[in-house]
Amino acid sequence: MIPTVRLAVDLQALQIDGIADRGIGRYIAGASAALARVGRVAAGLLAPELPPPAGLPVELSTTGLARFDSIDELRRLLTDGGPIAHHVPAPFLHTGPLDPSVLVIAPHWAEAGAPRVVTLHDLIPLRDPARYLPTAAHVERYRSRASWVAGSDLILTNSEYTRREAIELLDCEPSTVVTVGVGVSPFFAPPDGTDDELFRYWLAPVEHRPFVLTIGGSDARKGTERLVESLGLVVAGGIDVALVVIGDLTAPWRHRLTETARRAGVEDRLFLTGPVGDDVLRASYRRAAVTVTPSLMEGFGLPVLESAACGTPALASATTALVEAAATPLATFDPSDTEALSKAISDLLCDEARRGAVIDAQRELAARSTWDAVASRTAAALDELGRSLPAAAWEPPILRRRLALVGPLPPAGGGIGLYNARLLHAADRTVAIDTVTAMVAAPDLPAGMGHVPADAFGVEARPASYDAVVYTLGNSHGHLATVELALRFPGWLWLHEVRLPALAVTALADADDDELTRELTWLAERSYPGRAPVGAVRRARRSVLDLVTAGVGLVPLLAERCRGLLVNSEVARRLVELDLAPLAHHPPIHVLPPACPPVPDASPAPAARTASAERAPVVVAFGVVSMAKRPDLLVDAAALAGCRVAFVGPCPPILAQVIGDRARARGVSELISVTGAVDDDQWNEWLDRAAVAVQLRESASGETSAAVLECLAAGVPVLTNLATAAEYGEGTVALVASAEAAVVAERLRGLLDDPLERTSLSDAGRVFARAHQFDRLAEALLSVVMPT
Amino acid sequence: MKGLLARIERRLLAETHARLNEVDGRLDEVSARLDEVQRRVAEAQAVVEATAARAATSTEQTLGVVESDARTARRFAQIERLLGAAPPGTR
Repeated sequence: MIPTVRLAVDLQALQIDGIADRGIGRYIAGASAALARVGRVAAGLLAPELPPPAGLPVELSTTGLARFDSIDELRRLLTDGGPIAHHVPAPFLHTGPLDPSVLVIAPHWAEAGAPRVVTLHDLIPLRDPARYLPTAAHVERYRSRASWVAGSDLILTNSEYTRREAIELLDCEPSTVVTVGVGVSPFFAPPDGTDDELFRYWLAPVEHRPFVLTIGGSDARKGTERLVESLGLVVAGGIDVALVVIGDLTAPWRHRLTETARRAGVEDRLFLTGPVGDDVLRASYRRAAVTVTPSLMEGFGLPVLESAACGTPALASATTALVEAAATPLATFDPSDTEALSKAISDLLCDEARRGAVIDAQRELAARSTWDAVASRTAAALDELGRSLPAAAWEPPILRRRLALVGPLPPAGGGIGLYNARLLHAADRTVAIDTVTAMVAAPDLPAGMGHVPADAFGVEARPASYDAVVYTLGNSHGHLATVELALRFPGWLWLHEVRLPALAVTALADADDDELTRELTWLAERSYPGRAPVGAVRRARRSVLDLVTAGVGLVPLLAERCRGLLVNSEVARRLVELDLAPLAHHPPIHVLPPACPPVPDASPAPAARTASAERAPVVVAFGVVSMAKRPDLLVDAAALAGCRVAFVGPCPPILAQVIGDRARARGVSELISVTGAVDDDQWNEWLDRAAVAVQLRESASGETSAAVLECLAAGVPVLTNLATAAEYGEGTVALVASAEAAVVAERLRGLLDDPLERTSLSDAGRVFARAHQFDRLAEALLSVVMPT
Repeated sequence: MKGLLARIERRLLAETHARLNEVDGRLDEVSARLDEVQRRVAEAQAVVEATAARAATSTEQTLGVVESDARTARRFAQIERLLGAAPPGTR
């Protein structure tokens, strides 16, 4: 039994300005509508990356057949829809060196290995590379695409000429290249008296005089200049006729044609309409004395048939596919010979018998050229394809689930980069994972994982080809690339902090005060339309802490176009809910479990740590030093508690100075040390030495401290005011309610004086860490973003 | 006697009023200075925060693993455009 092969038709040509309303766009709309009417369309696929489609046929738009292309849609089609072939009706889109070729060669379709059908309209760039492929890169990209086209299972062509081109230039196997022709929309029909006023509005000067019509373009291949020259000869021969050029012309081309007309003495007879809609085009066909297509090369020549369908004879060049479109040799001319062109026009205008013969032949061809006929021939070709390919070719493939993780990786990104790296190492290897970072060179990755530079995401890798795209986001300008991609290609947004004003403030560091205020005010108004805390934003100026205190989270900017939000704690979820628009629909928010690094077997047992702590008890603040962590306050607390404090982690010079100044002012310089960035060995050494680790925050941004989780795994007792740490269970960390120096000092002193409590915290931290490893986080993440 | 007491009282009251006015003036001055100091401290803290946050990534920039300032500026502008911002200078 022959399987009924249906097509998943790529409709992205209808989403591209300048193509949707031109020949190829019209071809795709007409052919796909007709194929849908005969049940051969499984889906019309739109590219989620591109603008909304123009001219989408109702057979697709209102029936549910038009959908956005993605790996999800692919899976559904291949498992539910019977034999499906991927149809690319405009295979030479995006062939420029910097174009997103993945929009055409969709990686998910390539991986699925579904039979591929393409429609070939012409191979003109290969015939005239000097004009259309200006650089070696253009040539390479075009030839590469041509090879991809040649490798298709079925190549449909619009004309016998194009079929021959495919066989000759692409070395295609003739049996795989099938001419299905073109169709003329029933919209193009003889005059019915309904468009007089429309025509008068656009072309009043030629309403009552004979004119030649041509569809032009800013391209010498179209032969419009020669047609203008020939008009001079026609008029000199005593024929009173004008020339109407329809088409989008650039200013230089308008000037060029006008100059040619002036030299030919017909300047007052040339009318350039610019781009027009189909209704004006039809009205012009209906009223023209003759339509002329003087092009040097065409894959078909639809204006010839459209004109004939409107009752007006057409002349066309005696070259390429135009010979087929002209229907009779009486309607052709040598496009390189101005006199031959003018003679053809004169003969057709003056010789009624010739005119009658031409219109009869072309009407007959136009009547046969319907989209239904194209669909019928396509269906026959698909049936043949169904017979010729082995049954296995139509079996749904088993596709690996694919994840793109966008965000920093070491050596960039600090805690988030490290968190991402640990997550990748723990992830399920049955999932194909690509990482996307702002780095050009690939970072160190587990075997089998790919890397895509941020600027190549959407160009060399297609977001829609992933089951899920996860954007991991922190709160500094280093994450701007992630933000930009998240806005372009919506996915899952993993917020490691949920108050994000530092993203803007750090990005605007070079702006003057007025500019900064203007930008922040705009962002606030955009985030909270009609209720922006403008006064607080102006007062806060560059202070991130004041912006956070004023409730400026900026999350609404990102949440409005994402698939869902991921946060690391219930606290973070509550803060996000407060930030989003009240009384409105929100994306789903999922809380992921915290993850700790492996609990080292060799780290000092709590008893040993206690003994070490007793000799020289050191309180350590681990991680990047920032004002949000209130290092000044910790210095004050150290002074009150009389204990040593070390800041271990990258520390900007200005903060090292703040800490030093504060310590001198409090008279405790000898108790305070700042290490700056340390290597892994030094980091572990400090973990061993620390009697207590302290993590303070000025305000609640919903962040989870990677340093805290690392300390728990290392068995270091943790003192913190982080609200998220309260979720780790009672006794896991020592919590203080406020970040006041006296409160922190009292609790610190208490811990240092109580070895039993430190031991208890150390044990509880290890238990917690063993129960919260990265494999658990990876499993939770995948279950949310790509549920099975 | 009554008149004398009344004169003394008026004089004392006048002097007290004058002193009070003087104290009020000084208090206003101190208050204004405190506001100024507070404003300067807030500004200094804001600068420290922003500078420190930016400096935190300076090492990574040196290593070439994060993006340059020029690219950061372009990205920020692009993000604003994606969010629907009008062209620069028209807001």
